[in-house]
Amino acid sequence: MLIHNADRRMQIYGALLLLPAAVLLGTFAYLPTVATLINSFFLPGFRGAPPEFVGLENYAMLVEDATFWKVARNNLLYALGTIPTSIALALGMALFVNARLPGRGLVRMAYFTPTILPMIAAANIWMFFYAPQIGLFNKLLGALGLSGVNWLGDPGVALTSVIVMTVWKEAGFFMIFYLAALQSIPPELKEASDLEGTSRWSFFWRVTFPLLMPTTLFVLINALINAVRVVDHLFILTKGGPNNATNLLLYYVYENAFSFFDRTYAATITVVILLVLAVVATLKFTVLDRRTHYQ
Amino acid sequence: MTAMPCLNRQRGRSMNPDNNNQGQSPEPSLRHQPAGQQRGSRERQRIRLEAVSKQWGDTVAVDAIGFDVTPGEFVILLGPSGCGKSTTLRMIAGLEQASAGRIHIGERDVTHLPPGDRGISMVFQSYALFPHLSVADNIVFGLRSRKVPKAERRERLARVAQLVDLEAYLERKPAQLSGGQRQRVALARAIISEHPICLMDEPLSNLDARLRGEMRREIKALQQRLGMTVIYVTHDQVEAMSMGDRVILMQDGGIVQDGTPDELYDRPATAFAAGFIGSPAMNLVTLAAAADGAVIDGEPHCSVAAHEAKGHWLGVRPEDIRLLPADAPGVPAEVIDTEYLGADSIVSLKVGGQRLRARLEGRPELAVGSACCLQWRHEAAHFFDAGSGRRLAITGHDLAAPSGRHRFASGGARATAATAVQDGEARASSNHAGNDSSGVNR
Repeated sequence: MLIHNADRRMQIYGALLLLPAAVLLGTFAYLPTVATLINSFFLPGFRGAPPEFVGLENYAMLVEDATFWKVARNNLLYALGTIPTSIALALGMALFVNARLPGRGLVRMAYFTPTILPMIAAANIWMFFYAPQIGLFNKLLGALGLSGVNWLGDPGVALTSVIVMTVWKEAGFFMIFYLAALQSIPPELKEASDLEGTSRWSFFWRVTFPLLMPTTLFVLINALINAVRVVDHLFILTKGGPNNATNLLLYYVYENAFSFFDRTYAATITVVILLVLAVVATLKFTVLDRRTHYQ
Repeated sequence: MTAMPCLNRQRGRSMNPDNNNQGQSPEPSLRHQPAGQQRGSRERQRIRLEAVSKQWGDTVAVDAIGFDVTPGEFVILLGPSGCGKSTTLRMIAGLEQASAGRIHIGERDVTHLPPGDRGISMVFQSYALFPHLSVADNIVFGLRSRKVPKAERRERLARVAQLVDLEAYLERKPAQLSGGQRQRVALARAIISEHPICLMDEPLSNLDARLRGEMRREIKALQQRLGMTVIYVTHDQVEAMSMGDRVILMQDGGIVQDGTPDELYDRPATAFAAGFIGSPAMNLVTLAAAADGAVIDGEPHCSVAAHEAKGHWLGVRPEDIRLLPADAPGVPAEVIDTEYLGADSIVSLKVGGQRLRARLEGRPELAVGSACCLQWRHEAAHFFDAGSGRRLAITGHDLAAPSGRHRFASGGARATAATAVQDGEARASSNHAGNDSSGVNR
């Protein structure tokens, strides 16, 4: 009886310890998710009328929505443009600053600076690079006698411009993770393979890269989440234009919710994004995890 | 050392284009070879260091050391931490560049060659196993780097795995192995390369004591069976004494003594060497002048050496000291305490103002504070210069001399010991009295 009581008390004690985190997660993560899901089955009620339940009608509308498909395609291109590039760049930079080189600390800091800048500030800096007449890039091109490009105004170039900026912003951040992982690899491994005359290239692919896999997986998930989370630089740079050429999913959600006041349609798009993300993350963890060595 | 693997096969393939054995015999290696071939390849395993130094900024880690390693020899680099032994090994491996001096392996000057071209393998203290690879992949890692064909890789793997008894674990990851098994994988990786020279950097220091003893014997047996030339770094004198054909004792980046384990034990070159070898270490006491010769400082009654020894150090190994009743001739002493170790006991003694330790068999019944008398043979007394610590060519007195100027035959010694027991004062360690063996590994 006494033991039973003590046991119960320990359980309550444990539950109490979990409570703060559970409350925070519940209110700010799970509750909104469920609310969004419910919202997506309704039409917004205007002028005080109660929302009307329409079942999957919103989803049917979404499938018909040409803008949605364009935005989704943009986002896919954006993801394909930013994720591999920024990861490869991050790994390259990490390998570079992990080596013995003069002024290593300075270089590391320089690589990390874009990460420290707030998105809005970074986007503002890039506005000056991209601006059609006074912009840095066009000035440089002009000095070489080339006609400038309307970096953010030309529908064919604008998305690429946004991608380049994102890579610049993210690579430094991912580099830090790679750098930490590289420094946890014991130097004897390199020495042992040197004694066998293993080339640098071969050592990288046979030892370093596999040992960095957990980091790569982590960075990959992060990069993916970031790719569908872009709102702030679109605000400053393009506002999704021209003609939705740079419009991305979350910005489209924002537009629907706060410009067109169609909150339930915004909820519908959000649910679709969540579903896609969940599927991709599950795939990654099940397929890649099996091949990943965790120490 | 007759067992000699055909190490030149691997060398021919990977590093020595002038080697004419290439592709000669497809028969398995790690086998005996005709003597003629053997001599040719063995000459290529000679390692020679000439005035090799290493410094980082103002710090001198290794100071112009030189030595030769004969093929097939098991050489120990012994010393306390920070003495430069590991740096020396790493310079031989090529993992560290020598600041000055030359390193030769065989006829080649390898001072500036990259590690992979030197024809050596190495076992690291941390084993340096690749955590994401299976045991099998770890072992053949170097063979893949050297582009050894798959069939041969498999064949060599099977042979080596059997040699180090790892056949059942080839599919496991290093994290799933015990410390001793990981050690074997590291060994296997070194052996499979069939390089004639193997460097080992404190390979046993991560193992527990029981396993260490086992691996010590195993490594030594493997080395003899394969005829490898091994340079082995350790700070453990037991490893050095039991495994080494030759021990190079280092201190502060220099070589203190270079000799066989017997030489290090029987004739330590300096007071440092005397203190480093043996457990417990050799007793070192200062000598003072007295009327009839040098005496232990603070104990003016019994002269232990001639006048020339005064002011210097006397060294006596604990196992060379015999305890006799207080009325026997010898150095008067007082028992401070005894530490029972099972097979023997360490007795702390006070002579004058100085402390000595003696190793006695069994469990002597000695009361703390009781008086006794110490004896040792004249050849058990070592003398070292008080300033430089160098060994001095002085012979000590035979302390048992007043009771008869003959060396004890073993029977006589036993008789003496028996008398001592009867006297009830002390039981002496008799095995050293008439026994000339150095008794390193008792």
